[in-house]
Amino acid sequence: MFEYLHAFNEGLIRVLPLSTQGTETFLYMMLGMAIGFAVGILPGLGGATTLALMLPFIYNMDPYSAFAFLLGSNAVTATTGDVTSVLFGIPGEGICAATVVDGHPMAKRGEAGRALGAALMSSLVGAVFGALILALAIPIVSPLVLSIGSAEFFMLAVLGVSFVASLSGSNVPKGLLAGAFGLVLAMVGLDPIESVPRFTLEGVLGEDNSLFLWDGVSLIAATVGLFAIPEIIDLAVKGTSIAGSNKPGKLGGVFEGIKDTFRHWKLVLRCSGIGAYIGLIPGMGGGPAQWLAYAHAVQSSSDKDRFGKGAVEGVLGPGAANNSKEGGSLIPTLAFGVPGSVSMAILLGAFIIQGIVPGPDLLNPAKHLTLTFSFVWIIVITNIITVAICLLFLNQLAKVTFVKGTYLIPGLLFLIYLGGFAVKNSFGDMLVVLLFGALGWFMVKFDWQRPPLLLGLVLGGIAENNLFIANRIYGYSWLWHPGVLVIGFIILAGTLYPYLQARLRGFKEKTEPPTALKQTSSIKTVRLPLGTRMAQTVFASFMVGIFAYVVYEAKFGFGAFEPRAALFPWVIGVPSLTLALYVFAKEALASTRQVKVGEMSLAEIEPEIDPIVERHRTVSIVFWIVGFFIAIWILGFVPASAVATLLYLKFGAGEKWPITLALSVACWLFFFGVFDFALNLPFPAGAFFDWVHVTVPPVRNLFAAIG
Amino acid sequence: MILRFCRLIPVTAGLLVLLSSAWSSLSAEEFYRGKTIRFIVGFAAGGGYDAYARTVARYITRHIPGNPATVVENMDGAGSVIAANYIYNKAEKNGLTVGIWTAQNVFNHMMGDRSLRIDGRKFGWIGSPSKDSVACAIMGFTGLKTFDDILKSKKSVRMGATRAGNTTQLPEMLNRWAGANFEVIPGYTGTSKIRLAMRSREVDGACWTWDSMRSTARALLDANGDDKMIPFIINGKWEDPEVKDIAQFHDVIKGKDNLHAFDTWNAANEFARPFSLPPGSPPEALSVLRKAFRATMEDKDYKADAEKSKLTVDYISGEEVERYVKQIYSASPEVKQRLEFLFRKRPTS
Repeated sequence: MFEYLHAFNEGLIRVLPLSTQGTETFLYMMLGMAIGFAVGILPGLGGATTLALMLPFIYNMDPYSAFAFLLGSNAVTATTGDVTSVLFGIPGEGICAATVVDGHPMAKRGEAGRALGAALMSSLVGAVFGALILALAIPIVSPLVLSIGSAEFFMLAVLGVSFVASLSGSNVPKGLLAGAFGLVLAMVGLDPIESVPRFTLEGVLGEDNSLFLWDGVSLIAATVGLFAIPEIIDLAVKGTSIAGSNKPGKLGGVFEGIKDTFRHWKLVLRCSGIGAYIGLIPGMGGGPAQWLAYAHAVQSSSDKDRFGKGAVEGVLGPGAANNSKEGGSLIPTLAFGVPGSVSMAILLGAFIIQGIVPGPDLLNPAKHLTLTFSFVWIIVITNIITVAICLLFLNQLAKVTFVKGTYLIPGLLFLIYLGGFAVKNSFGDMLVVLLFGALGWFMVKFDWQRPPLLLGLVLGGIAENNLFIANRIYGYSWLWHPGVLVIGFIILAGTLYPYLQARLRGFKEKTEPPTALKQTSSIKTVRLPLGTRMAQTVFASFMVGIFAYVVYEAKFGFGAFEPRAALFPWVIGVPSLTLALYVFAKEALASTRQVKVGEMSLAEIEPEIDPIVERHRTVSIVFWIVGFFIAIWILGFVPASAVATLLYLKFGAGEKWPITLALSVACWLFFFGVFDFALNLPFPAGAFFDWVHVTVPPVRNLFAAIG
Repeated sequence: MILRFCRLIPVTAGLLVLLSSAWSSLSAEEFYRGKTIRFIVGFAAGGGYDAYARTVARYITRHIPGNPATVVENMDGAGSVIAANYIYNKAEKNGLTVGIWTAQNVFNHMMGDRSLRIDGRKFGWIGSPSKDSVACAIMGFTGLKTFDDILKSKKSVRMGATRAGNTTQLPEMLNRWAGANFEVIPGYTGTSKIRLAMRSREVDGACWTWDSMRSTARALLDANGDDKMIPFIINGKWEDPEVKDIAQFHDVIKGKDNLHAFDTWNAANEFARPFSLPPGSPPEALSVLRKAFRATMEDKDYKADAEKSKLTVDYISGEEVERYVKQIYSASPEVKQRLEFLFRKRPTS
């Protein structure tokens, strides 16, 4: 025990500027942190990719400095990523998408400061919690990780899916269907058992282009499209700043947000726990942690209707979880050399470069235990510093939400497309962003929930693989594994708890007279215009079409020659098709919609926009969103960043020349300087240059002439 | 307007031809000076292929006359099929674009995988910085230690596997050609997940490459008793004491034809991560790059970096890669038929 405490203490001393070595380590940690800070804020630059690029620099560092450098960068991306999520509705990192759901509506209400305060403080609590778990888990890590086999993995995926209902808002059938659609999207690509291409749309895309779907739908591209594009449309339609007509007076809420963290301290700690546990499981990745935490925040709240409209709990939960998972995911990496996420896989490469064998050596006080404990301190210290810096500049940051929307739109659009592109340096993923943008917008328009879709996409693969492995190895006896029973119990409790709670409350309300507060919100039934009815029916029939296609393919397509690959699609497809038909019928027949009118309703806060103006602005911004995509395709990324910005500001937004020119140049400088010049992202040349190229003899002729 | 533009084409072309003949006297040195060579890696940043590409890219430039700049780009997707197709069909054939993708693509193309739009024989092979030696290992808790033990044991041995490649194909070949009784459990998403499953005793063993085993599964190899991972079969004769005396694939596979089929399959492992130029690239560029590649493999600094990253250094020259590729494509219809069972899973044309 004493050895552990000693190593714990030494680990701290080793990363502080108290000795020459410590100073060096500390400086590298600061450098790494600065990189992570920027990477987190900029959407499209993933933490993992950055780590890979940082890897070659550690050859000549000592192990402490090397990990301070890498881990320092990795530990803060989730924190600063939340900032972008809140301010712009664009997830700064893939693991920060859940913060968008309630964080951005808060910013739109003029409460950006409070949302940021809550996100940052909960991030700090989460990070410290995760680091603490890491420190505590070090002596008992082996049995902890080894208790999780394929059967338990599968159950965890089911646990996640069971949360879909709580993410579904008031319309559960639609939420379930969105979740099932996510599961279907997770099936796209080579199947995990037989390598059969499923739903890769060869017929539509052609064999060559369909190859990029072999790896499945990119989660980041889908997330960015689903959440960010509808926000851009909304911003343009409002024609104001992100915070709309709300006065910046509410900005002082930063400390309100910090107080919120402690007001809901139980929730923050529970969500930190969820994050650390999910992080600990190799292969779950960062995606599920945030959504499970979000779902838990919804589930445990007594007023679920506030969520998605700017409930601070919806910011606190994911904020805490996506940071605490860092500490958790270090555990399997250190103990077994089995990385918990992509970033951890790259960190594993760092261990190898440093000549350290992950495993017992790292947990042995006589060998590397001090180094292991230094990781705990690196996570804690970098997060404290990051949050402190953010708090200093928070008021300035939040002011962005009061900047005129048209000034922000071009840059945001480029960042959105870049977010898709940078995942795999693939042009196809930009198209994915666009398609999911359209999907997301329709889902918002017709009142379908988006989080269940993402949860399905994240968990689908995990569920399918592990169900197959568990069945293959244990038959049905896996159902009796202790871990399976425990998770099964949690699922049951989680599903039943809200009903019990509601029953209990119902009982209380009957006995107590209704309070005045309850009466401020009421449900109003409004008639739907015919156009909306027709449109929502068409969208529901699109869903029917999707599931019909899944069932058809599973039976007559790839399923015909490889039934093993068709099992999961079949199991998901058939019930979903039935449900889709039910929802279709309901949507087609619905002539009214229930709208909750009350203090939380957005309708009260935002001024009404004339429907004709609204339609005009919507058409116009959709045209520009597609136009930016085409500009990138034809001109290439960097030239388009200047040209499209200029065209938009002048002809789309009708700005004056000086501001148009200034912003276009700024946009170009930013994209060229950061992404092309400094980071060397391999942007494809514009198609225009390809066309021209056809007429010019290729450079190879020069070489041929030599020979 | 368009017409006038069209009329300009022959003029431009003529000018360029003139220019090119003027450049014909330029040496390779002058060609590469001030240029940038793109290394296109078919896998994501952070993996083994990426590590080789980045380490080679860092040092090869000192061995190319004119010292061009180098840049590594990741074109991840479909197990590097996308990158192979790109290099074959779309990349500029100017000696400035180098592809790095798995040699397995060449073998799969020979077997008729229709997703590959390449012909392995037409690439300009620069060389390969490593080869893969396939091996299989079993856990101590099974009580089995050697391949003989496994053959004699009555119970079936569960081998963890991913959806394709070595992990599934090796146990299947041993079943068919050496009388083993392995039960292949596919569905794991990588060898790290298989290692974890071996530790938690979900599976009994697995096959992948020895180089990867000895660095990533070091802890398991060093463990004792039940938790020890024991390699029991490997390709080729090794001096390494950990695998020196274990069985070899060549000794246990029965029948000359089967052995021939195994060798054809294994040829792709002999040049695992080849560097190549698109077909039709200038032969001068190829010979310059081949020379530079060899010099890199002998470069002290390259070796030191590779050693640190636990990347093995086996220099396979471009000419040797060409020979292996030829060997793969010369597979007779009989050999192909013998190997077909490994591919039943993906529809081939």
